[in-house]
Amino acid sequence: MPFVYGMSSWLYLAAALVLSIGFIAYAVALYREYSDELARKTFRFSLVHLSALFAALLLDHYIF
Amino acid sequence: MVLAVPGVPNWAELKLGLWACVGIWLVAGAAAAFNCLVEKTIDAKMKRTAWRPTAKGELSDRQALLFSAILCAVGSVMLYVLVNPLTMWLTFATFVGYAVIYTVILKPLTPQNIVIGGASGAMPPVLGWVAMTGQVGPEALILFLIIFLWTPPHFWALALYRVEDYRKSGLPMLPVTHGNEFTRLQI
Repeated sequence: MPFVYGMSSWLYLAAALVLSIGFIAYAVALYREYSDELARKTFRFSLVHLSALFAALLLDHYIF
Repeated sequence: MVLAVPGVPNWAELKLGLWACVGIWLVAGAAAAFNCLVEKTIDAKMKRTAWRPTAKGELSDRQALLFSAILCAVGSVMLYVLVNPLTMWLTFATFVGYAVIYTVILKPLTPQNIVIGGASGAMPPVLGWVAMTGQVGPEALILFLIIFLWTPPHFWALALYRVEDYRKSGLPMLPVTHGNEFTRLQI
């Protein structure tokens, strides 16, 4: 969304794509075969996901 | 906050941002304290939250309520005087959204609790943006949407492996009401 609106460039777009694909991979794996451990990992990844996404937004803001 | 100003923030912008952080932090603390008070019986039943002073009975209801009220009042005055009134009102609305609408009404009522309640959790970038610019810009709404959409799968993943805790607490989280597989499908 920030890329489409023009508030950030390809750096954010790339980060958003990679992170989202990562989360979808976790979601699909979790759907196929459930374990508490994988659910915990998915939760952990979601924390990294959001932090990294905003870090990318910030980095993008200063570099471009 | 730094996204809302072009380039590196100057001294005045830094000060403004710092006051806004402290003010918003205080009101957020008030909301968390209020949540602990309302949910002390539920917290005591769940491993993740049983350590909370309100759940263990180390703090009386009066103490917790007073603590929450003082934090909310000090934070709000700080935002009103040192940042801007709009930031204060939006922060207060977020407090009500989390402490009352989410904690008291939605959470024990519906498995959609975190979906709707996620709006409170998605407010911080909006508050930061308003603190720096004085208005709710479209960029702020985009950041709001990012967190709003991120919230449900994040909490459902947590609820999946804490399902027994949630069952004991009686809270209608999605894995409790609609089962493990349906929750995984929704994520």
